[in-house]
Amino acid sequence: MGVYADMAQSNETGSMVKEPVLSVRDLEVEYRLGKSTVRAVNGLSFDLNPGQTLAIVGESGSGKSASMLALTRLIPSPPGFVTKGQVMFNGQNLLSLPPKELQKVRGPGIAMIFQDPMTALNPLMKIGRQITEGLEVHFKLSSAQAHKRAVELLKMVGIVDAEERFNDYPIQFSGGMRQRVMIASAIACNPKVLIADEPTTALDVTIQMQVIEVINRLRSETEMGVIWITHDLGVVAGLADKVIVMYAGRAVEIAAVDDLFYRPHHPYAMGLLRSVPSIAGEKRRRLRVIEGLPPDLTRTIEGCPFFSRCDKKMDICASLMPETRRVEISGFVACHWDVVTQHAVANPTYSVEGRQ
Amino acid sequence: MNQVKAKLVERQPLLEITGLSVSFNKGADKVKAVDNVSLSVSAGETLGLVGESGCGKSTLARSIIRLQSLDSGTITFQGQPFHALQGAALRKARRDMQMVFQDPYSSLNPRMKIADIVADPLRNNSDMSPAATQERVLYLLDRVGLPMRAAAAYPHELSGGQRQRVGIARALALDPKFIICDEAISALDVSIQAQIINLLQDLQESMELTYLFIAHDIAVVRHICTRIAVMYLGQIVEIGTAEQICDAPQHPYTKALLSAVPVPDPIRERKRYQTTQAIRGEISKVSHEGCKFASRCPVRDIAMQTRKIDCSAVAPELINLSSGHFGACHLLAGNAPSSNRPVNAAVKLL
Repeated sequence: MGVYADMAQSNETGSMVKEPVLSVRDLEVEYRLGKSTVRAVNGLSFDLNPGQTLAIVGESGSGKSASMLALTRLIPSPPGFVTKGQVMFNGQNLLSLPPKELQKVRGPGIAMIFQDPMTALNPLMKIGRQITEGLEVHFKLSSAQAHKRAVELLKMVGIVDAEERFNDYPIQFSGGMRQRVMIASAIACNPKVLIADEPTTALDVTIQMQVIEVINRLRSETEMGVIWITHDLGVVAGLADKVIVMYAGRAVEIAAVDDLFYRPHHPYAMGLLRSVPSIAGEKRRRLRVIEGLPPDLTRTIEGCPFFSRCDKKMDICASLMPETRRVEISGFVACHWDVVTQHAVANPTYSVEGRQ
Repeated sequence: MNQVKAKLVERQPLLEITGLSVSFNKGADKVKAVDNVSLSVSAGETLGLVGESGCGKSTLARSIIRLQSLDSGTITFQGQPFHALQGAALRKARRDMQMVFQDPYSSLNPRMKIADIVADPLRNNSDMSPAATQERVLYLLDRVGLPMRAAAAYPHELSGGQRQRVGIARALALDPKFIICDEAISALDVSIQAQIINLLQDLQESMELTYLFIAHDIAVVRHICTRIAVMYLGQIVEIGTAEQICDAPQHPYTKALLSAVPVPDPIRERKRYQTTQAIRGEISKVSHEGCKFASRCPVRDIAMQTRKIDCSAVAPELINLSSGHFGACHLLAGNAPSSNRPVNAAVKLL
């Protein structure tokens, strides 16, 4: 997987070379459910630079959330198991860190925002306390200091009457406000990495825009790296620097955002981009769809997992998983078909470990 | 003569709502979820209903199909006073009006097989023989693109998209004229969404269906709808054809809502973030008499300066802007043909 290592450098054209803040290599996650094993993540590798926003897109079950839960070791186990891989953060491999050390990373190191604020916030704890708790534990602030900082944070995420709302419970807040409270509590400890799992999917577009503005401002002010899981390609276009397209637990394409939208390389990415109606685009009678369903991940997949739904499939795709290869300036694609030549890739090397 | 008559029948709206209001008691407060809404839906069209959560879209839909009791107003469906029907008459009329729900997980009984879920409306509302029912179920499953073996499956064995197809098959069982889709595709993945949108459009064409399509994804609504109504705090603030609303919105709320919709195009998106500012605040109860959007409105000062109207004191009325296009904003009043200008709004000038 050395192919990924120089990505960080080539990303930064001209400017200072940055060390990635988070580096994931060959991550594998499986869920063991009774007799069957779901191979949710199959060898995911990527780098995240400081101040960079990485978007992860893919269908439900493509391994987006499972991989993010795995790298912070929040995956419920059993049934979830991380079977392989390395997650380097701050010179440490999070996957082999003792639980006590891991606690210090979660919060000030890596913070997470979940899709559903009603289940992620403690319903019996006052809003203010949910934010001050982390500050007192990680930064040893006094309760007065923590209170002051929490009010600042709530104002920062757009809760105007923060001082008055400090002692309210989550149920007294609207969905959009709860989501912003969760963001406030996630950014309270100035994390180096913020992982946001569909943070705006349940929100209205107007509130979504407010939330994106808050996170973008923070990112540019604090050089925080952001991983944003979403299935909304419009959101991806607006906030991502780099995008990972996941399919059946694999990154089938990794690309700079403009490359993905204007020069996609993987047939699945192309299909996704074609299937969304746009508010600005031409009004078509029928939407182009990707026929079929994702493969059953309890079975061993021979060859490319997208094979059955692919409109570019060739004989070789049925039997050999394509190796990840470099495309554009900083991208990667796992496909035997070469968009540029419109032919099969010449002299490809094939992944052996991909199939096991 | 007959042709003229046929045309007249065609023009008659399938559904007509006038002055519909619904309120909920919230402690001592009364929240008006739907506030004096009037609209009509003609046969064969798709009317989209958009707005932020809490604006009353779902309550309006539920009250149209009589799952929610009305404070006041009338619902005329196929020429019948639908709002006044009771018991057997209501059940009979409702056969022509069906609903597809947002969540395909919670709207299907997990302990019933798919065949029974789809057969349920037939068993309860028709005297079809068991054999005919089974045949009809298989026909419906095929119609919505489900394999025959799905009949014997339970909901948990199907994917989200397949479950939503079951919900659609159930809604189609009694051969309805009118289907309300309440966020029917919102919970689905992008690629599955496209499949369901295409299915709904195919069914509309072949079965001459009329849709009320509720969604918060405006790009989807623009794609599927002939007309769009924009709701804010229980009221319709703008209504027009999909092109009028999406390409030339007039109401400041519609403009704000549309400018917040992300477009899957990075260059456009970067420009959008640079040039537009997110609309402040969120939808919340207002106590003042006037325009409910006034507290968030970016142009209310302009209304004050140029028209000498205090938007939080005087409520604007829906006025005709152009053919089939209506908007409720004081700033639009001057652009309207003078005969359509509401009198009472003009009287209460400051």
